[in-house]
Amino acid sequence: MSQAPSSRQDDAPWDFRGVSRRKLAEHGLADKLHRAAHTSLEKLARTACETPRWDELRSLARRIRLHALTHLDHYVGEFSEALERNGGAVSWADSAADACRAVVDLARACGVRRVIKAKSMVSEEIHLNQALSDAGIEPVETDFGEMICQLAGEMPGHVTAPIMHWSIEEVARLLVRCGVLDEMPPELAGAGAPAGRLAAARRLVSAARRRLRDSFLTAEMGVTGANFAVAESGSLVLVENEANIRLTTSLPPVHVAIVGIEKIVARISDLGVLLTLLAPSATGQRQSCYTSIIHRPLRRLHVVLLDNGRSKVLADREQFDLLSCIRCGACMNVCPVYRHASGAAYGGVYPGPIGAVLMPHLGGTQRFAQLPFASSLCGACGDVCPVGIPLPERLLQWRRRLVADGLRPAGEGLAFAAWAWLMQHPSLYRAARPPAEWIDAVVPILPRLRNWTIGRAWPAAANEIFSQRWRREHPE
Amino acid sequence: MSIPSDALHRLRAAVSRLPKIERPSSDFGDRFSAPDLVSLFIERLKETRAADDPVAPLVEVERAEDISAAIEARWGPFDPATWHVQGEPLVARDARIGLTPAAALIAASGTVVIDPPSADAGFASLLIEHHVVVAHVGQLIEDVQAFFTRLPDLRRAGCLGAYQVLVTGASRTADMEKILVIPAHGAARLSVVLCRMPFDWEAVRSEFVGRATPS
Repeated sequence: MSQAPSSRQDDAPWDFRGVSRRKLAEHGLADKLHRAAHTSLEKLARTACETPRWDELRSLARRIRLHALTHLDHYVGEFSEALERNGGAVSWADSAADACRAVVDLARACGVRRVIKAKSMVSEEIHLNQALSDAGIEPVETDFGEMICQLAGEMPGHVTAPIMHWSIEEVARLLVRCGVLDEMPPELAGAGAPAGRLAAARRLVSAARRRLRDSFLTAEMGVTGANFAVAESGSLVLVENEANIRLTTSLPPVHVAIVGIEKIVARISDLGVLLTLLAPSATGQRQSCYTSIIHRPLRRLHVVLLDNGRSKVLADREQFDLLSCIRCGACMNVCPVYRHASGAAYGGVYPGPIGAVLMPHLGGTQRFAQLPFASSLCGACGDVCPVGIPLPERLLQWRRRLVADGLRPAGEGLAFAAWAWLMQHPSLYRAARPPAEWIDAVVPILPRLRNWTIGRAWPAAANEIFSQRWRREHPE
Repeated sequence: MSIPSDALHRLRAAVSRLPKIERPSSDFGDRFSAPDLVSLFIERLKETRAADDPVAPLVEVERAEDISAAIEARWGPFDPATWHVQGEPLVARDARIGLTPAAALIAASGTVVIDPPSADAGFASLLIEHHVVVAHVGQLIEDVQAFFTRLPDLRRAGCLGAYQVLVTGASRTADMEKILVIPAHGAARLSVVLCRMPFDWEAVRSEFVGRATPS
């Protein structure tokens, strides 16, 4: 089981290399991540195949999102006016601290002692649970995975699958330790056949349902995020599978929705394209079980519009499209680095390729300077992104910026300078190339390569380099 | 106006540096098409169910006046202690069966759209073990895009209320090892009573509730 970083960020540079090395050494972690990611990706492939014009929809979705972003000053105003006209209240939060203060103040004004929370990445981003606890208000996470994260004191490891890196046994042990479950499910004893694992998983989810029922019925406030906010109608759109968001928005007398400003879209009719892409990209479902479209408040509704660095990203001509992300998590599922290192290695609330380019904006460039280098640039993230964010290009842009800003180790700069100099002197380069026998002899004993070559055959070095062969075969 | 002026200035300054992207047309052209939306809806509805669920997800009836009898024959008579029926007074407690009308059906995803008139009315599709939805074939729409293209007009025409929920199957989670567990916090089962003819929900409701009320 992974131990995630503390939920409080500090300013020290995040050591992706060090943490990911530890994660790579964690027995079974990459296996769990690969299995879960492949399940979602296989279903995505099937659903995408049966959906007419999938790629055309992706480019439409990109235009819909970029239109909203490039007119965001207008649509933020239109959304808040429409929401207020509908009977909701809106407040603006420049920072995470402002947003937490708005929620805590409202909770205090309403005499709230317990808050039920639906899964919301933005509430993780602003560390709302800590702020509520500090104010003596009990936050209760109601999404199954988020509940596990809260009980374990972990950050979610994935934007749509928070406990992707946990096994059922690990979840069961935690629930027993926390008193949610009386004993380990008997089906988990022994080899754990698939039917037994399903029966065990049912026991755990059923225990969570029983545990949270009372919280749903007695909490005085419900806090959610939103998948989309519609400017023309002031509507909120919330997508989920468990029904905990529906319970959170309809049972307590007060509903607070914390909405990043980038979630705003222009028109209700834009939602069709976005919702056709979201569920398949997230879990492979055609649609998630419940998509709530709240036009007018069900109870008392308060929306906190959150900036927290987003307007700075918006001002970045090269990278403002990072705000078009719809948080499906597909880029994490396809990423070979994520599937080995896990979400915890990224150190921020948004992991994976999107996190690697977004966290240096939202969480501090110096702190997250290693993340844009945490990629093999294989391009899978850009290929899968339902809103067509060219993530590999954004990773490269960040690398250029970080190198220009001197935020890379001096040795790396020297090595690249030496290599560039050598490449500009072809005769020297040809002469500097050692004979093939030397390469074949030295590689297996180099410390960094030794582990790799233990179980693999090192391909024999060619006797000549490419340019020599070219000349030999094309003498003219 | 609740957006502080300095925040708006900041947004305007940011946006002014960006190329303006035009919004694509609302009508996104050809959509999902199927010769028989009823068959497609039934097939996709079935696919949202747990593999070992023995209860058929669909009951088909010909006429509006057959609906109440079909519900009663399948799931028993109305009992206020164990049923939530949309339109009856509801309190926040769990019930065995919830009965609601559909506002639309989406064929390509096997989705039922409900339009509860209030948060309390929503309990009939939420605080229950089994959600039974009454719908007619004329409510079938091709896909989610078609639904959202029509939604603004439906709202302007006053056909829809404060909130709608697109319900696709019973509540679930696959948070652990991607093993599908049904239910999570909501209904364990979704069934649809599909009528060939249009019906008046109030008439269906009062008839169904009235059948069980001793006169």
